Amino acid sequence: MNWPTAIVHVDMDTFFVSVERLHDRSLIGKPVIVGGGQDGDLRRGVVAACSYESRAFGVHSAMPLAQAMRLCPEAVIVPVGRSNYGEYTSRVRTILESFTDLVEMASPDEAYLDLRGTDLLHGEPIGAAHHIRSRIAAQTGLPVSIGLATTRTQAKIASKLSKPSGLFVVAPGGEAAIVRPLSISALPGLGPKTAKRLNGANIRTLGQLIDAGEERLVRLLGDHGASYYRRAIGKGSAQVTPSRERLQISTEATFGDDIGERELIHGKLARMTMKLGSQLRKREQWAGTLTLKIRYPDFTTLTRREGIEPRTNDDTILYRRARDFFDRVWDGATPLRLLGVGVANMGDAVQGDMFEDEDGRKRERLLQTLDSIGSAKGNARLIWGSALEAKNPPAAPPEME
Amino acid sequence: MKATFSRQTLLSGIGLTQNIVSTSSTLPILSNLLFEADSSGVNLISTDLEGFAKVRLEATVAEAGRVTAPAKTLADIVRSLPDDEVALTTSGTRMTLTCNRNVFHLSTMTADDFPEWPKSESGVTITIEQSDLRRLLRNTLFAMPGRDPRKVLMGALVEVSADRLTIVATDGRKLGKASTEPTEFKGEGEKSVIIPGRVLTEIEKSLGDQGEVKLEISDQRAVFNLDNLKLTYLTSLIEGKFPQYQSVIPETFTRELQLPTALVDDAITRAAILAERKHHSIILSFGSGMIGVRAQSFEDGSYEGEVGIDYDGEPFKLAFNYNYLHDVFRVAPDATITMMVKESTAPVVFVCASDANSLYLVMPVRMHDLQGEEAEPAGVGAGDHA
Repeated sequence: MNWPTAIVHVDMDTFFVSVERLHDRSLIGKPVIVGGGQDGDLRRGVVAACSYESRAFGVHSAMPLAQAMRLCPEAVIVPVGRSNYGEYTSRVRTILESFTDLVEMASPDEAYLDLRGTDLLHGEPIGAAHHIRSRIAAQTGLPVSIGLATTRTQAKIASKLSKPSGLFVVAPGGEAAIVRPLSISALPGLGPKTAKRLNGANIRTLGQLIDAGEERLVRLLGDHGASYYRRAIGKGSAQVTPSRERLQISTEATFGDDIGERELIHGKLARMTMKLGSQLRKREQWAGTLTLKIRYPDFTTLTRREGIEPRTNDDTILYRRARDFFDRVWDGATPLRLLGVGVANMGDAVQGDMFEDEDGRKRERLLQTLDSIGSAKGNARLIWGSALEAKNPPAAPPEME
Repeated sequence: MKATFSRQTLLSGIGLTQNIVSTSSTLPILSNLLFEADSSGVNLISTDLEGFAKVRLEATVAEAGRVTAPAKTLADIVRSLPDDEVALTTSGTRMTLTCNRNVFHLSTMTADDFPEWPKSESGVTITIEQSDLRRLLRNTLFAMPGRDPRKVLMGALVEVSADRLTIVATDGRKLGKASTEPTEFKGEGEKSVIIPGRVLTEIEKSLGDQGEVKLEISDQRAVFNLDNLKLTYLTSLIEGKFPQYQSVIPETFTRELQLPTALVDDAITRAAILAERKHHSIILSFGSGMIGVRAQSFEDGSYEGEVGIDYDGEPFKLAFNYNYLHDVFRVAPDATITMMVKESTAPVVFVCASDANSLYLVMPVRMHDLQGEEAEPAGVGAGDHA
């Protein structure tokens, strides 16, 4: 079979749940919901992941936990963050990168691969996709669904069709035929509002969407219409951007009880920036921008960004900058419902300074040691003194945007 | 005050002083030049409070006096005049400049408000050739930062002893060091001071091939006398501790190469076009008989070039900000420059055979691409041929 482009979409099935099940076999076969807010508070949490058993009750991710518990009272609730999901994400990533450098981690449990140039080592795309699936299963014990197609959109649709734990191939030229019977909401990125508008125009399946034609879709939906049309017929993007170039790493936490004590918030910032620094060092990148997000109880949300010169991946510098930045942005009185911090504008090179103080060099060696201990012990919790103020780590693992 | 100058004399005098002014609005008189006419000539003086410049101009003085007028306006006026005699007269608060059939009237400010020339202090005095000082400044000032919160780096370290004058400037990424032997030394002991870069840049421009410079250094200030030009610069010193530059100059090296200055600089110019805009980095790969020069911009594209060199050692790679290499190659006096490398995280040393008393350091860029390729204990990344 001749593949002009071969894009693989890797989707870890109920990722957080699967990881928790590796650690606690008793969860297998039961409805499981992973979720919760900061400090294990379930009142404000949302569903981060849910098993297929709980989905049967109508539970889905991003649903408020309270609602999920009403829908599925027998579900076992596992607080998010009990296991180190990041560890599994990076294991999966390492496996994927053994196939090709062109791996884009779209989220902690989702990745795109461009298989170009892998035929000599791994054979035909279909064979390679099989290998990817079996290697992830064998080496991590996690179930994974794989979609193979000529574009990103079709690959993602394919992985969904393959669930659970399957492989689905959309052969070149077969794109339109495969998607025709599917509901329009199967098209990634087509949200409920657009679906409603299309339904109003009597377009319910992707077949109807394709038949409507580009011109009519543009009339209905503006420029997006053209994009939906192109992606549905298999003319969408096949661009895979290796994650090295990803634009931002951020982490945020919603607090069980709003917090308004500056020192406590600084402690949280310390933990978050440690996490960011360690991620940057793992990637051998240096960040040039710091982002800050705070949300007050009335849901007023402030997001700010500022430059860091020279670029850094040093926890201490990131923390000091984040703390000072926070102190300038926060009104100093209103408690916080949510706190987030991130880094962006990454560079893969940094100009050395010959007079960089001896402290800086010592700290760099120390950080390297901490990083290696951290990865050797898996979930090791080595933290700076300032971070001890905050009792619990941020709820959500770093998100990729 | 009534004085007559040749246009050329006045123009060069203004040129030597007009950059030591301050345009801050708090003290408007600092943007003016002070004319001090006595029976035998005219002193032209400027200051920004940190530095002072004074040049003695030949003039026919009919009436002594003192007056100040805006430096920039004066420069514009005199530059515009035909090459003839310029008569300068004052009456009340006005200055009149007459040249040929052109008359300018200018508002002035009273000379009484102009800062006084600081009194001399005792210290050490050295005498060196102007051409020597010019070489020292050329080989060092390039390394000074344009702006830096570390005030001490905004000047050059000047170390004086009976048999040595050493100047060092650095921004932490690059460094220039140059020294010479003074022709004369008066005073006792050694002096180590930081002289503001702004004044040094002006001095560098004024230095010629002929004549000597007398440099007096006290605890508070430095004075440069260029006797043949009847020119004096005085500057206060930058307080603080200059970085321990000796400790960052490597003493042992794992690699030493001769580079053809112009050819490598040209390749760097080409690579710079497509260097990553975030960090201006280019990669030099040293292999058998050649240097590969490579740049890659994530957004724009890439460049690869080669320059033949006489090298048969172990291959290795280094990344640099191309601006810093340009800076060094621009001031290097020889067609061949020697590059000495200790390891990829240490400053790289450049020297020229014709000037054993100067050296340049450039700190490499730490780059993801190069890491993981470090194969040897020396810490220099191994190249493709390893």
